[in-house]
Amino acid sequence: MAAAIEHEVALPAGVLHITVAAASDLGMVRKVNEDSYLAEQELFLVADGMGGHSFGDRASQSVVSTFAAALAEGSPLSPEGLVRTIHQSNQAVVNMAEDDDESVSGTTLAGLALVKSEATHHWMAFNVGDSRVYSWDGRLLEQVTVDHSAVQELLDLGQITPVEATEHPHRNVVTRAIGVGDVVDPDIWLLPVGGKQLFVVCSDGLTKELDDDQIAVILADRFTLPGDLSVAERLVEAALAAGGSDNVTVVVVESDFVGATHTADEDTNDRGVPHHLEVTRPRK
Amino acid sequence: MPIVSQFRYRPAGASGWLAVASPGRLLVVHPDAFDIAVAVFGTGRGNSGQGFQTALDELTRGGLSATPPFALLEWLGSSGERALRVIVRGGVRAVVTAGGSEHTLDGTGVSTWTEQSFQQVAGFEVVVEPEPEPTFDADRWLPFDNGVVSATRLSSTSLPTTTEPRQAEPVQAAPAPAAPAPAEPEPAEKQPEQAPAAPVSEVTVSDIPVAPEGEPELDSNARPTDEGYDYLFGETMYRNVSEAAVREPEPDDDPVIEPAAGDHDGMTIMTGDLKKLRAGRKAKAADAAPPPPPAASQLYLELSTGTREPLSQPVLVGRAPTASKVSGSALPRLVTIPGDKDISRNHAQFAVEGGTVVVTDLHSRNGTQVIMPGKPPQQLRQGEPTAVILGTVVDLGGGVTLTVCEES
Repeated sequence: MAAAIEHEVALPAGVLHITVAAASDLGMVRKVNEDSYLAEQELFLVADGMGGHSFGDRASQSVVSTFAAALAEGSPLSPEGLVRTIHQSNQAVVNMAEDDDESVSGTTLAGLALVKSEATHHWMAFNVGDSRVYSWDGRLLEQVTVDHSAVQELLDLGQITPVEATEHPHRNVVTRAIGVGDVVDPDIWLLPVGGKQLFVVCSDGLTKELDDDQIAVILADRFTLPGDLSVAERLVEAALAAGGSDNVTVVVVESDFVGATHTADEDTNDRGVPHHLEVTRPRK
Repeated sequence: MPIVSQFRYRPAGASGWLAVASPGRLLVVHPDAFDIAVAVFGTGRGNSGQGFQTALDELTRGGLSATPPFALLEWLGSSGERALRVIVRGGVRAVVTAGGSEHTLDGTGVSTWTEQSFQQVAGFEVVVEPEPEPTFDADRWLPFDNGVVSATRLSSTSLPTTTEPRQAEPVQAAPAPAAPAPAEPEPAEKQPEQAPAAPVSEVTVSDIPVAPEGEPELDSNARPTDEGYDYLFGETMYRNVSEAAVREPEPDDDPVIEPAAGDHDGMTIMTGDLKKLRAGRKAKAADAAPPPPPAASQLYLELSTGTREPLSQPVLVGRAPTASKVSGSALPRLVTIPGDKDISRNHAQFAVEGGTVVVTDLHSRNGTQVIMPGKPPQQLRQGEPTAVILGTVVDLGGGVTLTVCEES
């Protein structure tokens, strides 16, 4: 598997170094890998297909190729443009389904992209279904996206606890997916760019085998890995060791912003902002 | 007395007239007006208030000359008043027993229709002229509550002839059914206040206990009929029972995700009738996707720097704004006010809701003030969406203001 890929992006206030590692595996049980991923330029996504008769892998590949085609057009990534591409990829999968109407089919999507909106850059995270984006600030692993799944809805309602969710019989049921209807409703996060940041984009094959703490330990130990093993491969390896009951796909994106310190960062730690509403810290 | 439905009818074959029953109301219409009968049934359920008028509108849609022969009856007022309004047109007549005597309303020979209201009504019978061939040789009647059937005669279920010998000199003698008439399941949407009058019998529709064997019995009665009748009976009764008692899942409903039991292999699944789901979503998509209201695109914010920010989508203003879990259809524009540390990263959000600009302070550290024209400055409560009018100045502190404007 390919080792980590590095590149640099020039931003108005400095340079952003991006290091990407990706890995995907069939798992120990499944016969087909229905996961697909894309890690090109500043766009990183994972799609987890579902449906029989090899529909799942074609669906997830279709989403990835729709995004790859959008990237190839060369226009800078914007939130609006990516939402349009999500809708396009949905249409592509819906069109595929016409001759296969009876099967249960579609794909999840989780992604991260460096987008430019107005004059500023943001990390945009997005999801449809139960593939996820996490952020890691060096100490704390935080799930950025919120699953569109039955157990997430039960969690939100307070009817089950997070521990119960991992064992819940409905834990494989997603409530939104690409390719199921003519309209898809992705959720979007726009996060600040700055300092050292790390994101994990993954399919549920990772998160159903490893809990947050186990993922965090592997991320924290990533500098001690043997030279030919990327952190993404290490995460996949751990998921397989834990059972590997599903396809496992992981994209790890590390970024380091070097440049003039943005005034926005002056009175905060430079590890990003954990929550929307807890954004301004006391100055003194 | 086992008869508990609001009407009863003598079934007829394909030549029978179509009878449409809803709570407190009965329409009998010539079989050529098949579409009207179905339409009236569709509109008549649930909204009792306009049901009579809606039925008339439907009947006269093509103008008076195209209006089919029909009889339309409706119980008025409370059940105690036993008031009945009757309209007949063409080859149908209604015999109403009211105030101790019988009144016949005949639609033949009238160019428009005949209408009359009755008080203290004991019962009625509707007779089609000429009388179509009944399905049964014997004088057998079936209960009829809510739905569409093909019939030669109909009556209220509490005709005095079956309960009070004194009034047994019937023009349209309606002997009791050979077998006790089974009750239909009570329709789910029946509204209590329109429980039709059952003037003589004490049994009213709202009291009906649902007879468990009602439906099978009904079917067994219906089976030995000719094909034309079967067709109508089967179709209309199915509709009646299914829509009234066991509502069909509507395709537009949000998908109900039923997980496959025992699927623990880590496979992500989506179940449900995908085909129906797709069809439903497609229909929805066709309905949806309205263009953004024109007002929204003309509203804008004018920043103290002179920049204009259109309010065609939500605008989030701050020193380093971010967005958290927003729908792809309501993507905010992030407007950065650089440099001023009095302003929070996410300070305030502006959105247009129903043509009105709504500003929300996003729990900013130093707060947000709004100055509406001609009013003193007012501190926004944190996190509370507040509607503002045109010309309002929103002060984020540090000399940064935004003015709500509209393109003229």
